[in-house]
Parts: sequence; C-alpha cells; structure tokens
Amino acid sequence: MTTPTDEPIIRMTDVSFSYNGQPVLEDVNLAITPRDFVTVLGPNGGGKTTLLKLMLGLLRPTRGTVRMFGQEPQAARVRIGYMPQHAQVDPSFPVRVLDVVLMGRLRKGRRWGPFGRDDRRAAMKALADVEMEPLARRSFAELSGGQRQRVLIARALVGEPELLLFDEPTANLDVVIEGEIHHLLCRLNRHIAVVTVSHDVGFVTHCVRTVVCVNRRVWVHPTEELTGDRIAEVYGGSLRMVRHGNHESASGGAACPSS
Amino acid sequence: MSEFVEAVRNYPLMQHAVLAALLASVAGGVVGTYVVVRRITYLAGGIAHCVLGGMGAAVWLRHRHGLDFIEPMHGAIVAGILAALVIGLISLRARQREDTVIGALWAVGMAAGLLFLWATPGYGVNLMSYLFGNILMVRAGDLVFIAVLDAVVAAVAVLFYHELMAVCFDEEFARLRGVNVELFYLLLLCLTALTVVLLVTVVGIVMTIALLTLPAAIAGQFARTLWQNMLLAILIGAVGCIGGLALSYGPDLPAGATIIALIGAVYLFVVVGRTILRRLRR
Repeated sequence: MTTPTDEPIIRMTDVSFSYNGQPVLEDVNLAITPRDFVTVLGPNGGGKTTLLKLMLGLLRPTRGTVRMFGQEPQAARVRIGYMPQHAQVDPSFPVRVLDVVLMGRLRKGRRWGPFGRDDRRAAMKALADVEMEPLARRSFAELSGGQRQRVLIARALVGEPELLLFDEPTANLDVVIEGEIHHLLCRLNRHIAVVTVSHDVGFVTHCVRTVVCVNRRVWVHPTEELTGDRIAEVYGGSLRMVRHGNHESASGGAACPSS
Repeated sequence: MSEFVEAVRNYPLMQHAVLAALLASVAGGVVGTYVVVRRITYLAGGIAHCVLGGMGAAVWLRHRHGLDFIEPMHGAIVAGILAALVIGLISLRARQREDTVIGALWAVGMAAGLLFLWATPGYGVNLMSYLFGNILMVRAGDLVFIAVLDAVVAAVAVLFYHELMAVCFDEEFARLRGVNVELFYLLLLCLTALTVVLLVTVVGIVMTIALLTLPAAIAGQFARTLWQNMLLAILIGAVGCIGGLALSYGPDLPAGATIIALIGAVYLFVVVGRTILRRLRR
C-alpha cells in the first residue's frame, strides 16, 4: 500500500471522454505528485468538472486509464476529500453545521445509528481546522456564503483524506473571503495534495505549484515566480503567473488561457 | 368542542379515530420531512394514487375469489411498495421525462383500482371512503396493524437517519463516501409508500399528499435541524388531525376534508405571515 513519495497520486494515461458522441476531453496525460497544489483552469464547458469526475470515478473514460494512488478511482474515493460546486447544496436545508461535517465520516460498513464519539471528535477538529468550531451547533442555513464554504471544506477534511479535490471553492464569494479560503487551502497543502478547479484565468495564488489548463485538451504548467514588481503593485498581493513554455506551442497552446 | 370530548369518551369509534390519527401523524411527520427536503412530493403523489390499484385488487380477490384473509390495506401496501420501486428506478435511471412517466403511473394506478372495484359489485365497497377517507371506519384490528406499520417506518427512518439525511442533502457526496445511494433512495420511497398507506386511513388517497407534506413544510419554516423538523411535523400533524376531527364532529362535516382544510389554512397563514414579517423588517 505504501507508495514512494514521488509516485504520482493521480495518473491519467491517454484519457478521452465523450458525452453523447461529443468529445469533451481528448488525449489527456497528466501525473500529479503528493503534496502538489494544482489549479485546474479553463473556460466554461472546457471539461474542468469532467476531469474532476473522472478522477472521482463518477464518470468512466471513453478511452485510456485513470489511476488514483495506483488504484481504480472508485476504490480510491474514500482517500479523497471532495467539495462539490456551490450550487449543488440546498442552503435552506434544516441541518446543523456539525451534522454536515459528520456526513464526511460516513463510510461503507459503518454501524447504523448515531455517530460515535470518535466521529464527533474528528468533526470538531475539522471545524477547528477551518476556524468554524464555535459555530458547530448553528444552523447551516444561517451562515454566510464564506462560512458555508468553510463547513463544506471541513466535511471534505474530516475523512482524513490524502488528496483534496475542490470544484470552484471560491465561486460566488467576495474577494476578501476568496483570499481567506486560498490562505486556508495553502495551510492545508502543508500536509495533503490539493487540486482546485477555478474559473479565474491568468493568475493564481502563490502556493499553486502546478497549473492544468483544460479546453478539451490538457496542458500542464509548473508556475514560475513572477518577477515584475509592477504587476505585484497592481494586484497588491503575492501572485504567480502562468507561463506557457515552449513545449506546448506545437500543440496549440493558444487555446489555454494565460496572462 | 365539549360535544367532541364527550363523544371520544363514550364511543370506541371516536377513540379509534383519534388513535389512528395520532399514530399516522408519527410516520407522517418523520417521512414527510424527508419527502419535503428531498423535494419528491410529486413522486409521493404518484405512489399514493397507485395505492387504489392495490386496494381494488384486494377487494376483488377477497370477494370474487373467496380469499378472505386479504384486506384492502394489504393490497395498498403491495401496490405502494411496487409503485415506489418502479417510480424510484425510473427516477434513478431515466433522467429524461421522469415526470411524464410518474404522471402516467399515477393515473394508471387509479384506473386499475376503478376497474377492479367495477368488477366486484354489490359488496358495499365505498369508493368514496377510499378516495376521501373515512376515519370513523377504523376498527380495533386495524389499529394494531397501523401501530405495527408505524413502528416499522419510524424505526427504519430513525435508525438510518444519518444515511438518509446525507442522501437528501448531497447525493453525490454520499456516494463518494461509499454510501449505497440507490438503496437508500429506494428505501426512502418504500417508507413513503408505507406512510401513504397509513395516511390513507385518515384522509383517503386524494388528500394524502397534503397530510404527508404540509405538516413537514410548516415545521420547515421554524426547524433548524432535521430532528426538530420531524418532531414539529408530528406535533402539527397530530394537532391538525385531532383539531379537524373535533371541528367536523358538531356540524357533521367530512372529517378528512376538514383536517386538510385546517392544516392547509395553517400553512398559508404561516407562509404569508413570515413573508410579511420579512418585508416589514427590511
């Protein structure tokens, strides 16, 4: 079960996916190593969410193979902490914050009935990790958008995952809260690999190490330190720039959003 | 009102009616809450109407074929569970035109029931009491049956509280955690079918859907957790049923219709009241 540290935790080999005969993804090859921080960028309808669902085994590739931790995606699911897109959850659902987080402790073969003390303790710890512990008994419906997002992150964390997959974690949030969430993800990345899908194009936060551009095809870029002081002035934060190297220009790198 | 209290004290018929209403409110509050938060009222409506097919078939088998052990309620349970499984599989597998198929099943279930009843004439079967309920017809033997069914539904719904809640809140996430989402969804629909059968004894097939969802929807205006929503819905359902019975007793109104009109009025009052309050606060 132990994998050497440089063994990829996500490996996609010649993966294609079509929906009703329409190609969504073509010839995807990528390898993500442990502790990496990956941002998946691309236009709407470009295949970002499809890529994530292939990793989770919610979709099966039309061609090619997906391996997560060297396993079939469906078998590896429990090792992944997943946060869906904002719109998937009904904000008026009558449920306490703690109960939402406890959903992340569900697992195959769990004994029926209430959660045990260990599960509750883990849930409180996950809430502490996202600085939401004092609100554990609050109703999910009463929270602000940013607080809800933190609760859903805690739900992804509570299963002690080895990889976090977040679909648009900062959609519908204002810039300040977006910054806070990015900061939180950077902190979590000290221990686990993080993959986020983002609608933001061009710039990504400073802890992102790999950018995956998706628009039917996939390009992988390591991020480079941005040296221009002027741009740092304009954006007022520590930012990195996506730089397309020479290697993808042959395969039409212009299709991928960059600065 | 004192007239009603007097009647409950003196007539076993009224005592049975009150007990049946209280028992049905328990399953109704618990399962109704799941139905409302998962937004499957239309599926529950389809299941409820298919129940008439089973009741008709039971009456037909009993009187035409001498199978005396078969009661209409047995037929209702079989038809309800069958409808729940068919409707559940359709909604899981065929994403498109789900509503058309459910609507068709809804009407076909009723048609089957009417045909069976037509084929069994002269046995004093009162179609009106199936459709609109006759709570004063509940016998002591029915009460035992209702109590057992009630206990089964409540026990299952409470035992799998966290799984059912996760499936209602975020199906995809529950699946990723290894929860058998399809199984729990079908279980929820089967519980809905059994609850529908219980509620049919109180208000009849046509109005069941209101007694299933309105107490839970009223409770949802105040509840902060699923638990609170269920307990509050049970309370509202019980008070609504007893209140409706009491109101209908003096002027001899149809009990089922009075119960539904009362609970419907409360729902309207609560929703409108809260909307006005929210506007005023702004």
